[in-house]
Amino acid sequence: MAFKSILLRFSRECVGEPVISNLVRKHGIEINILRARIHPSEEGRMLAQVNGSEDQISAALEYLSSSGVEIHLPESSFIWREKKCVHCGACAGICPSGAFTLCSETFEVEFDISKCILCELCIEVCYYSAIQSVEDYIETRGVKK
Amino acid sequence: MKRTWEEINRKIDTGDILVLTAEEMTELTENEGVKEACRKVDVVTTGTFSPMCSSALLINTGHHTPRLNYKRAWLNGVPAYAGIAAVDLYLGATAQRENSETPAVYGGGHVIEDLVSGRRIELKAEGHATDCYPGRNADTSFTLDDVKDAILQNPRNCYQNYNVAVNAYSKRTIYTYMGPLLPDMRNAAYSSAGQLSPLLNDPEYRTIGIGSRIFLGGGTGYVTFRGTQHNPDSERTSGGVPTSGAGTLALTGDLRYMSPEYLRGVCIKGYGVSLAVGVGMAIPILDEEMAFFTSVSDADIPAPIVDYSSDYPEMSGDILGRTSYRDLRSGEIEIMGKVVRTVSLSSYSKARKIAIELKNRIKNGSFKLTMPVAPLME
Ligand code: SF4
Ligand code: SF4
Repeated sequence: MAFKSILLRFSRECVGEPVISNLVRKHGIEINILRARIHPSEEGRMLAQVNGSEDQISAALEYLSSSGVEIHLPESSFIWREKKCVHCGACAGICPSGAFTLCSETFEVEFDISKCILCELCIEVCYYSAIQSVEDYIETRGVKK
Repeated sequence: MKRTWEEINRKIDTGDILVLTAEEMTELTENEGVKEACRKVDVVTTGTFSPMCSSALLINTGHHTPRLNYKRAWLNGVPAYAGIAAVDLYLGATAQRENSETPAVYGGGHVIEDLVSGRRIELKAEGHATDCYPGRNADTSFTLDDVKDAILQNPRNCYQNYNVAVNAYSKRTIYTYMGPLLPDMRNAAYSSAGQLSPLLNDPEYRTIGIGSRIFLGGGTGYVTFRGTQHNPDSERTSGGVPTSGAGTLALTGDLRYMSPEYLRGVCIKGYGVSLAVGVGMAIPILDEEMAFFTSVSDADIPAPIVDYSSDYPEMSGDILGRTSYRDLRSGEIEIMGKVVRTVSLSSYSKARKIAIELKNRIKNGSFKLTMPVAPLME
């Protein structure tokens, strides 16, 4: 089983299509939608976690691209701006999902995007602006492949 | 076994010296005992990196043409105190940018970080417009290279020990300078670097005093006096470690030689802005007592747990319990039968980096120890 975070951009044309329900029905993967902004008049964006076998996920991603959905697989730079991080560990102390953890040897934080549920509690405790919101991420990085 | 300051500095000159970080010293004394450690080790280095709100920058911008005596002044929109000599300004770390975003996300601490990073700062000012200083307005910009002086002057840094903050009574998240505290005591925030912290390795201020040379913000600084709220008489453990707040230091140093790696503007949600400062001190192992003091480990350092929803703001003086830095650093502590996750405000990895950096400076002869000219309190 694999667990992946994906960021999707729907062009105006495919906003009306039931791509997500097809994804679940035809490809048998589980999908957990963390953020979605979908408007009939503009392009839509969705951040989701998909859960399934490697094969199921790659088939599902192929289906999405063939339906005209742009797919972006966020890396750890997603929300965590490591350069600004001072490794205080405040995020690790509040993160409910174990995405941010503090290594007990080096006392440096590590971020595992696949565990993040985007509750954004970490943003509240980070004094150093080292964590950005998904909205800011999308704004600064776009959802280009 | 005794050592003098002069002997230690001579050893720095020859390079034949053993310097350990406070963490390494703790390990060595555990393995070989205090006596043996005292025989071997000349200096122990410490470090801390944490928001220190009582920090400020004294800046002399150089004169304008025509001359202008600041009446009011703003640096990147942050008000600086102008009630000193003509072009001197005093910028506090917690001053917030005026007429802009609420809640504040930018303040004095960020201006200091921007300056030390080499970024350009906007200066807007009004003058007193007198005969000798006729200027009325200034609207200009500068970088750190352009100003006459930029001196970090921190009236209260390096708190010897500090509270562990929880929210025991409020039903909502409270926003404090210790960060957001969740209801039902779901988190506990602490800020000391524990066994690496300067004043916890010299708990009775035997070697740290007025005139001590220190690592400050990446450069070199000095202890100029005791800090505000310095309270040496607070309760101690049998090992001399204060069980709460206690000592503080006033520090100063030239911003020009500092680095943004060790001076960072911070924005504390729902509270305000501040400056995180990296400080390190070198402690000479003059005798066995100093070897014993520097052997302190996180397990030996207690910290009081204080409720910040009512006890702290109302100054009730109550504490909910005590814990140790070993437990705090494990990620979870127990308070009144409840397991609570801990959140650190200071960066232990940076504290460690500072202690190592200071150790290297001593080993390569670029940092010498200075004997205090007077104790913190006479
Ligand atoms: S709270 Fe911010 S600065 Fe601290 S470790 Fe997490 S990301 Fe880094
Ligand atoms: S958004 Fe929530 S789950 Fe994700 S890293 Fe931050 S605290 Fe953890």
